[in-house]
Amino acid sequence: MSVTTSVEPLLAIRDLSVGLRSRSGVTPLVRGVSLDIRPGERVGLVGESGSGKSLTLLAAMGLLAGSPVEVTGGSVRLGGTELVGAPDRVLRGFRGSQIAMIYQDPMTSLDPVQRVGAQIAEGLRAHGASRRGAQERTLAVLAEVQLPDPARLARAYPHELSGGMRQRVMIAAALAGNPRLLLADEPTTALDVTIQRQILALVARLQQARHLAVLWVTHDLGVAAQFVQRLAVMYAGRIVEVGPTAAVFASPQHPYTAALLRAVPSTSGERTALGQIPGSPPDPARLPPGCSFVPRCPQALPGCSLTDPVLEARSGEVAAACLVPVSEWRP
Amino acid sequence: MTVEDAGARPLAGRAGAGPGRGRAIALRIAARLAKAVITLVGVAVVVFIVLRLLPGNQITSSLGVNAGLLTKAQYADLEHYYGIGKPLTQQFGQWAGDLLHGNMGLSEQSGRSVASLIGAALPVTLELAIAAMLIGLVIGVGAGAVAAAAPGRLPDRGARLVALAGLGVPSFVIGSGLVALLASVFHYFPSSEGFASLRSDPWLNIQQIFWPALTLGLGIGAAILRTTRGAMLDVARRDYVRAARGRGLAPRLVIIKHVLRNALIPILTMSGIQFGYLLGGTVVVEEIFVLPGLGRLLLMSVTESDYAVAQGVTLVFALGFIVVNLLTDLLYAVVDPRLRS
Amino acid sequence: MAGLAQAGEALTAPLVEAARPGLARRLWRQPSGRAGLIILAVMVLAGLASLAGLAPDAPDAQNPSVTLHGPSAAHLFGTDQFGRDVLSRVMAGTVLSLQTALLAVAICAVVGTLGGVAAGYFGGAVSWAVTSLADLIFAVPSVLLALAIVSGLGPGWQNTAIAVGISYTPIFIRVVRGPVLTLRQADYVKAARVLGFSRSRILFRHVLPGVSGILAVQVTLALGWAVLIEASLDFLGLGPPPPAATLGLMVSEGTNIAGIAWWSLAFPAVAVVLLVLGFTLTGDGLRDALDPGTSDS
Repeated sequence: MSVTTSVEPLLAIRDLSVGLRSRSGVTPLVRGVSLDIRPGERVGLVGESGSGKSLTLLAAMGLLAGSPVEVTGGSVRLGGTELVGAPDRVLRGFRGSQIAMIYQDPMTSLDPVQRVGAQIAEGLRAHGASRRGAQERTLAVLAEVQLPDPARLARAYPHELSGGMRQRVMIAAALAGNPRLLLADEPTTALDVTIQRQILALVARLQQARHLAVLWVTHDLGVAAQFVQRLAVMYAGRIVEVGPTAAVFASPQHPYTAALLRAVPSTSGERTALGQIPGSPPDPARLPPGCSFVPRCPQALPGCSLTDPVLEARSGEVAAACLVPVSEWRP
Repeated sequence: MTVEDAGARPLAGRAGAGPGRGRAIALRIAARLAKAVITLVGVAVVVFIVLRLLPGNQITSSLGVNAGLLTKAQYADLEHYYGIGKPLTQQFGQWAGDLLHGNMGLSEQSGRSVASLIGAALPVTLELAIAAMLIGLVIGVGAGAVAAAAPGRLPDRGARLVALAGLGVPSFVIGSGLVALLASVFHYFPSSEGFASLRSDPWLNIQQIFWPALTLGLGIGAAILRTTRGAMLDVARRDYVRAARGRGLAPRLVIIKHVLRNALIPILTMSGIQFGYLLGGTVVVEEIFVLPGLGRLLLMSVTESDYAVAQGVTLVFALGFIVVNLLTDLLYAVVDPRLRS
Repeated sequence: MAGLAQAGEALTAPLVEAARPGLARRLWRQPSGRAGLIILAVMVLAGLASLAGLAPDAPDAQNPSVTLHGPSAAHLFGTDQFGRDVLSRVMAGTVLSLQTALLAVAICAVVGTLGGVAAGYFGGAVSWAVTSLADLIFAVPSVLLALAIVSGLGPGWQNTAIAVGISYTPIFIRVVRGPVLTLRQADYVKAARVLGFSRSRILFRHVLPGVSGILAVQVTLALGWAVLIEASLDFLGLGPPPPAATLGLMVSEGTNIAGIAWWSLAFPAVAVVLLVLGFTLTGDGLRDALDPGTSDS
């Protein structure tokens, strides 16, 4: 599979499955996802809501423990260590210092009754920093995300800050421990459009400066286009296409990707009608047989409902999970 | 990249740090106090009217059946003395005026001043209330936290069962049962001797206060247990708790620093509500355990139509309730920084 | 008058609709709801049996020859110091408690809901007046209010009910006002106003149905609370005087002779507890059934 590469991956997700445990059984939400992230690489994970992309991130961090959603199979290796099923003690050691996460809603991701500086510092102290060391490091990282007057800002409460500032604080908290990998769960979705750009630019700058690997989850292809080097497209808990961003955009190999791209308004070229994908994503408890995209797929053939296609290499470094080659697509 | 680019606005609340902020806080406290005073006055009026509207008056209550033997002149004299014929507003004004001078009137039954009666009874009820609240908080927060730590497991089920008992069993049942149990099975009668104040005989005093406080505390603890458990479970699901774990914090630290801290807000609310019920509960419990407190005083004064005492005690109760409300409001601001600016 | 009928219909219609098998089944599935309903069923049946004259003895019937006998085949719950059958008295006491609670809750539910809706919907001065009044009543300890009313109007279950009802009204006002305030901002209510619907129509057809679920829960919980307060008042001697068979009085008298006749204390006490628990559990179950998000099963 073209997901594995020659350079040793920093994060290797293999066949990861996540499900919702309920009285009636287990509903699969992530089904056999495999993805590699190399050191310093920017990878994007794109899909509609409910495709399982956020859960993939949470599963990697081991943050699903204690909820009815749990990892039902597969492996996630960070460096050489297996994270799935590892004891909390081990996972704690990695969180913040090797792998960190930023979330979609900065308002709810910060404790409203504690000062923001304290929230950053507590993570550092959990990894053994001294009080003073944690304080200095906090101020340094607040300055790094370009927040004004870090000393004063560290003493602020989350509700006293604007949305953009809160997001910067969250980024600072994530990077304070100098992790090698940053998981970003739609960090710009809840923000103003202008702020989105700023945050994106900030993360790009920080990524370059720190040689950080980033896994950026979003439902916005435009954001993905600007930032990531490799793009994975998720649908109904599966990765349906993956490859270098430019290649995927230029020549999508999966009808879903093609449909997503058509839906992105383009300022260049002819004015075509804004493409819409008819229908909505399937209910994870009631997946259609075979390929789950069949009900909405303009290229579906009868054989598509018989087998669920696996990711296969196509042209270049792109892999797609579709039985119908592009050459046979109807317009 | 400038401050403007960062989408900043001057840090709200911090910009006015200093004299401006102090003034805002002072204003809020003043507003609360004003509201408290108005409520107190309102309660006084309500109590005054209600007691005056009831059939029977001071004459019949102090003389009983013999009131019928009075001549018209004697009756008129007594009416004048009690100020019965005068318009209500005038009576109220007189009473309020006396009150502000510290004169709450005289008790019909005992002839002592209402103020002295209340003064003697207040420490007892105060001790009882504080003890009950402490017991309730310890049981409620302690058991609630334990239950929330392992939802669905044995300690949780046990705690919730106990909470159900505490909520469903009225305090007069618990109290009566306790007295019956202690007396008939253990032959233990701490109340048989007169009430011992904390200063005169601390050990006896503690014994005499403990059982009624436990009775009340079980009911309070049950309510606080449910609130604590619910609040902690709710907070544990929040995004910021997950984010804290994502930074590598140990679970125990997360629970103490983030979960419990945020759960304090609803716990504080419930504690305030429970205190309200507590005041009413003292009436029953002091009666059962024979404690010479305000509750028992109130009960006796109303059944004996001793209006002056009843009014006085009611005002004290209302004052206590209002003071606790004020304290709770202030504590909110301490616990939740969002309420400060 | 038409308005009242409309209000009644608006309040009950969604309840009736929700009372489809869906809600009842969900309530039954909740362990708390199930337990509560079973307990209530037992108590209500016992009460009805007493009303229908099916109790083993008349509650007042004294039998001097069998005083202070323990539970036996003839007297399942034993006899008290006057030879009265405790079981019959407990059944009669249950009836009294239930009817007092029903009257009390009827009072506070109607007054409280009207007040809460008015405060929430009209806001401004109306809201201020209503909430201030509610706070005032709340600040007066309920026991005192009850004491005053009962000692003034005289003992009797109706007066106890009035006292209890008035004390609980502020809670209804508070509980109803919040959701009404929120509903007022709801899109469909705003749309109705823009479309020019009359205020009363909006209130009855749009706002009231929205709070009917909360009301149902609160009414059930209020019934439990009413039984508790009513029993406490009876216990203190402020309810119907002896020889009335109130559960509170029985507990009070029973405590004195508990050493030699535990059954005179135990059975009335258990009856009170069952009544209160029955309503509280059912209320909890209703709350969980109507809003699964807050259930903890």
